[in-house]
Amino acid sequence: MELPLTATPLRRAARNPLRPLDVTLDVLVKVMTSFLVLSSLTMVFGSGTLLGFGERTICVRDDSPSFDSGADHLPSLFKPGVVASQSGLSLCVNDPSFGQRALNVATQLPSFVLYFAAILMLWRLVRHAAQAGPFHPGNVRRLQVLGWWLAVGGVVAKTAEEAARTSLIDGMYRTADLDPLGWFGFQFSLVLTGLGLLAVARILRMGVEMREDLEGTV
Amino acid sequence: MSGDDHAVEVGLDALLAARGMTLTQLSELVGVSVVNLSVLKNGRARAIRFSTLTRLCEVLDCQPGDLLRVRREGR
Repeated sequence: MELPLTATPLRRAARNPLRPLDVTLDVLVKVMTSFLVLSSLTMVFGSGTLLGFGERTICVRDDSPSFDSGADHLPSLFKPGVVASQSGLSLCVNDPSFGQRALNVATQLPSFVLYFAAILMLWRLVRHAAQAGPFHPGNVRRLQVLGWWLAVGGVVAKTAEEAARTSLIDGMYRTADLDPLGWFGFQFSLVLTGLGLLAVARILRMGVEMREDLEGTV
Repeated sequence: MSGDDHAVEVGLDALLAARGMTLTQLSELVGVSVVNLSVLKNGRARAIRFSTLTRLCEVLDCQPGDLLRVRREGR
């Protein structure tokens, strides 16, 4: 059987480039917002806790101390050649002061704000791209803001949390040994992602200019 | 350099008037939408395809230089 010569070439149906990210973000934002509202309500009206708020006992882990396991006293749990050791202490305060509560919150809040805001920014970017099209100057701007937020936030949030954690631990020892240089930290994956998004934003800007040229071509 | 940074003027208005033709008629003969021809006529186009230019010149019986010219300062 011969195929008709006038047959139109097969074309793949245009796929939505934002799928499945748009649906995923819609669900994620709703779940996170619901969790935040419910946790806030249980914290205010019940005994719930949220990001360190409402905790009656504050515990923090100090990883610096190291102890000999006393392997001689342990039953033979381990295979020959395995050396057991334990490090770190879990320090808890049952009746924390206001300052300790604040520091405890500060050990968790920055990362939460960083991630939550980043997801909201990405959600808004995807919604705008769905409405205005992918090659729109507004998307470039939003992508740049998100890139800078992650790149800078990856350093600031980690450093702030480390400073709060160290201060909280130091406040529990009889003699404090403050070392501000030890507070510095960064989340490599976030910084790398942020820098990557800034590069993608520059590429997208070129795409926007090409799109504008194409639209102005007769 | 932005897309609007040029000095090319499109003389489509004068050619249409000289041929006694409307933009709609030209659109049908050339096979380019009235909207796109309007963009070209009003100087809002950023570029013109060789294929469009060829069809325009065929239908209007002209050369590209009759349709396009570069505006020079002080002239």
